Amino acid sequence: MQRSEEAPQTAIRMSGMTFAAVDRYQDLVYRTALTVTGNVPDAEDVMQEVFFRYFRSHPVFESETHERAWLIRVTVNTGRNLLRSAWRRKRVDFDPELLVQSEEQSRDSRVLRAVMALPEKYRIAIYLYYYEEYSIREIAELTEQSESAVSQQLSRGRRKLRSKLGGAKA
Amino acid sequence: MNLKHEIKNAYDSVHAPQELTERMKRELYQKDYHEMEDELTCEAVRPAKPHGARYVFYIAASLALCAGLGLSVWSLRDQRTDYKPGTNVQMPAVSDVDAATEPTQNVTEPPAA
Repeated sequence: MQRSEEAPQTAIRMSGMTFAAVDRYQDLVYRTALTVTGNVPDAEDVMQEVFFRYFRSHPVFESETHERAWLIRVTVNTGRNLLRSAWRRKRVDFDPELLVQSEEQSRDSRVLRAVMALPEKYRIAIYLYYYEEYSIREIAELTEQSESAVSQQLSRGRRKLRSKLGGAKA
Repeated sequence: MNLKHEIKNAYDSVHAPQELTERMKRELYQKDYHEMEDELTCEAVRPAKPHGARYVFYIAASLALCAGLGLSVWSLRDQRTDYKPGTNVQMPAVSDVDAATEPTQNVTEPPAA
């Protein structure tokens, strides 16, 4: 087979788009994946799969909002597929204590643990609503559910979270 | 502090592992490199397409198909049995014919003028 000197330059050009997306959205995808799967190894697998899919499909987006929504939807679906997979590795639950370095972070880890202890559907609704600040209608579109289902998940998730955190007010 | 701020602060402390990001970029680059290399190599090695021969083949195949179709239609035309109303009329029974042709005894002659 003949070798070409043009390949590395072209590869850099072609990978550039995905690299920029990785740099910009790595935390978004990782947080979403962690919220869906509830554990670090699965979240890492999901993140890798999402960016490989991004790389393979070279999607064209109308705006940054559209791109974020695409990434969240793909991450949620990939994570759910992984959770359903029979070949999934033994689950190692997320340990927020690994993040703890100060008193403030200790409080954050308590909140994270409480969120991660919720059932998967409540976690996703809580994360997208409170952290990503999506509306109920947008969450319904992203997670392919009805608005009433999302609304119910939010109110139940909030109630459970409050009881776990000892009555924090929303 | 309300729930929203607590959740925001908690998630702000979660970041994608840098090691994973770097490894992923390396794998993406290698994948991209090999795919592009294959594409470029294939383009260089691929022989010129025989456009003329292909068109001649298509035309010959079309002509052969048309000829075959024409011949089959022609042969069907030769073998067909034309509909002739006279031949398909059911002949009456012999007894009925005899009865109709024999002169009857009770025939009344028309009155002579």
